[in-house]
Formats: sequence, C-alpha cells, structure tokens
Amino acid sequence: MIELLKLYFIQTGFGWVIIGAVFVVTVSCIGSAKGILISSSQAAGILSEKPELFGKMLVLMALPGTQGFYGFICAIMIALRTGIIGGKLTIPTTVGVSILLIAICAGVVEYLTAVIQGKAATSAINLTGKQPEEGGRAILIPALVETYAVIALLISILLITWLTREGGLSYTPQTIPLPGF
Amino acid sequence: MKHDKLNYEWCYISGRVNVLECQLLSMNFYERLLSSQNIGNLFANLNNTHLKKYFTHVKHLYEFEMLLDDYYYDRLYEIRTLAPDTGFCDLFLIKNDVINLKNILKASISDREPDRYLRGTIDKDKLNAVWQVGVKSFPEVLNEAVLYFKGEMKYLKKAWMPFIIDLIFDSAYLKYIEFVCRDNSADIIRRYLAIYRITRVIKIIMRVLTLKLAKGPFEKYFLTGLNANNAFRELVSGSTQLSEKMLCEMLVETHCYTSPAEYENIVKILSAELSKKISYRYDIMTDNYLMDIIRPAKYTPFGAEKVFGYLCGLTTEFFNLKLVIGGLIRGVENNLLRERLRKTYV
Repeated sequence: MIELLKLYFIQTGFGWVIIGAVFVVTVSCIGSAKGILISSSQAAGILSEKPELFGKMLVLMALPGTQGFYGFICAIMIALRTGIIGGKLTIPTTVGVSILLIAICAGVVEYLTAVIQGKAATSAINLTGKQPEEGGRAILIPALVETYAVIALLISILLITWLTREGGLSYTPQTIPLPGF
Repeated sequence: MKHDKLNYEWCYISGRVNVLECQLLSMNFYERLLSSQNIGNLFANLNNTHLKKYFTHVKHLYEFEMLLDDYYYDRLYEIRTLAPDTGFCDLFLIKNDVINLKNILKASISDREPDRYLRGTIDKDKLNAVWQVGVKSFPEVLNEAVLYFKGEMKYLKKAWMPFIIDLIFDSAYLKYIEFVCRDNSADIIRRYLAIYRITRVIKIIMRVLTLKLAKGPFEKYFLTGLNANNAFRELVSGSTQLSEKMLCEMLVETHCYTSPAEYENIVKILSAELSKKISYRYDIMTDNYLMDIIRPAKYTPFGAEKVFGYLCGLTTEFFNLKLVIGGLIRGVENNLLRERLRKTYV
C-alpha cells in the first residue's frame, strides 16, 4: 500500500491528478444540481399558474446545468493530457499538484457560478412570469454569470495544456507503466 | 417555531406567489370600483378581475362577505400547504383562532351561542378542546393563556370577564408575535412584526385610556411580564401623553429602532394621532406604514419575505374589497370609503 502511495503521490503526480479530476467533476455537478433545483423550483411555481410559459422557462431552468458539463470537460482534459487514459505515469509530482490546484479552483468557481446562476435565473423566471414578452431579454440575466464559468473553464484548459506539453513542467524522458494495466 | 428553512426551499411557492402578485388589485382599480354608478357597473368591474370566478352573477354581490372569505382563505390555506414553513400563514390564521376562542369564552359566560366563527388553524369542533385540554398545534403561549385564564376565572367578577378575556388573549397573541419576530431570519419580516406589535399595543393601551376602563385589571392581565419602568406602563399609569421620548423607548424595547430616519418616520406617523383619541385614522396610518415597510419584499426573487409580503398584500386586498363592495351596496358615500382605503401592495 505504501509503495503504491509512493508511486502515485511522490514518484509521480498520478494520484494528485486523479483527485483533481474527480474533484472538479463532482463539485461542478453538485453546483449545477443545486442551481437547477433553485431555478426549476421557481419555474415550477410559475408554471403551476401559467403552464403555457414552459418553452420560455426551459432554457432558464437548464442554464445552471452547463457548469456540470464544464467540470466534465475539465476532467476529460486532465485525463487526456496527463496520460490517465493511456495508462502511463508520465506526470511528475509538481505537475500533478499544480493540476490538482487548478482543478480545485475551477471546481469552486463552477460550483459557485452554478448556484449564483440558479439564483439569477429565478429573477429572470420572475420577470418572464410577469411579462412573458420579455422572456428573450430575461435570458441575458443568468447568461452574464455564465461568462465567468466559461472563463474558469478556458483558463483551466489552457493551464493544463501548458503544464502538460512537451518541454513544459511535465516533460519527463522516462515513462513508468502502471501496475496492473 | 424556528424559521430556519433554507431560502431555496421557498422557490416553488415564491414562483407561484410571483404570478399571484400580478393578480392583486391596485389603487386604480378601487378608484374604478368607487366610480361604479350602480350594482351592474360594480359587477362588471369585478368581472374584469380574477374574482370573476367567485362573482358569476349580480346577485352574488349580496353574498360578497362569504365569497370574499372563500377567496381569501382558499389562497391562505393553499400557500400554507405549499410553504416549507407554515409559521407565516399561521400568523394570519391564529389571529382568527384567538378571536374565535374569545368569542366562545364570552358566549359561554353569557349562556349563548358564539355569534360567528372565523376560519383559523383549528376547526370549529376542536375549539372546545383548546379550552378543555389544550391543542398541541396551538402555540404554547396561547395554551398557557387558556390555563392562566382558567386559574383566574374564580376570582373574577362576571361583569369584568369579557374585558379580561380580551386583555389576556390579546396580550398572549402579541407575545406570540414577539416569539415569531425573534425567531425570524428575514430582516424585513422582523421589522414588520416588531412595528405591527408596537402599533397594536399602543392601540390597546389608548383604547383603555379613552374608554376609562379599570387600570388595575389592565395592568395585571395585559402588562404582565413588562418591566416596572416600561414605557407602556408609564403610559397607562397616568394621564401621560405619548411623547417622542416615550415612543423612542418603546421602539428600543421592541428592537425595531433601526435608524434615526426610520424612528422619525414612525414618530411622525404615530404621534400625529396619538395625542388625540384613537380613531380609524390611526388604523389607516399604521396599516399604510406597515405596508410601506413590507412592500420592498416584492422585489426579492425568492424567500420567506416574498411569500409573507404577498400574504400582507392579500390581507389588505381582502379588507379593501369588503370595505368598498360592502360600502357601495349599502350606499355609503364614496369619500368616506375612499379615505378608509388602505394602500395596496402592488
């Protein structure tokens, strides 16, 4: 067990990277679920009185769900660039820890923006409920929050790419095959 | 009763309330209603609103009280069922329970049937159980008041009983509001309830002073629990008029003194009427002031305050509709009705 931990966390950064990938996808998905809970509950209340607004409400309800996908993209990116999918331990510890930090920051931003977007969506839902003709403009309110979730995703992708490219921090001449793969 | 529900648990009911808010009637509508030339006109005006499902025929206008009761209590019970915390709706309904309880007690003293029953949290049949054994769903402070009154009954003169029943149960209800106010997490509701409480306490005190009722029982049964140097006591103890200093002390005591500007506002509104006799103008001014306090709640996207704000708006609408329809049917002069109208929520 200790040998395995040494291999994953000290000799290579494989363990850190795995934790990072799992963290970013878990936290983002929880945030999205919470955001959707907030917006869809509010929308359900309005739909109980005005069911004809379902089409307009659907987009607003679904908007906080995007952060879950961003977390998923981030996790896939980590897996692709660090060799998890290839099954090779090519990541040094420093890069592994750096990727974990990036994943934590991205995860936290995605979580918070999802919840905040859910709350912003309720305002837009209220506006659409009162003035259905303003539904198109109302989408802009939660969409503005989306910007910051996208920025977090982009910067994490760029940083992961820079960290794992050949000649970057991750460059390592020797590869150690994963035990059991 | 602790209102510790998370804000997003209120989302569903807030969404529903958001749509229902649009149906609340504005001041312009009441003006239109007041300008109705005849019953047919009044009916036509009502038929353009959400009330049309209650008033389907002109003859229904003569049953307006029953129909408006249906409208108001249906909404109240519906929101009570859907809300994650029933505390706020109970505030409106327990007031009726207290009135019912007082009616039952007063009726039993004078060996007659209670004249009316208002819909509350307790069924008509179960109200007797409150008196006999107490009901768990009833707030503790009100069950205690029943027990207290039972204990005191044997020492009281029969002639004083109705007066003392009022004092004990009004006092218990105001204490119940204090508990709700203390437990509440939403600032706007806390402020509303604190000011509501103080306005009602002042009203009861001033009524006792105006009617020159016996101060002994009043002090014993209404002011129990207040400090010896309490401002309310001072007001009762002599012919002291309500001064700004006294009002300030009361406000500090009830934790609703939030800013000098707000204090000045309350003083201006209350003391304008309090130096004279309590009149209907006092009720109008305080109701309007309370409505001004709670109105910003409609801009909150979701939460307990949004629902509470709507319920306050609905209660005002219920009052205004009864006033205007009842007044017009009985041929009361428009101006008399107009000056008694309360400010609306929307």
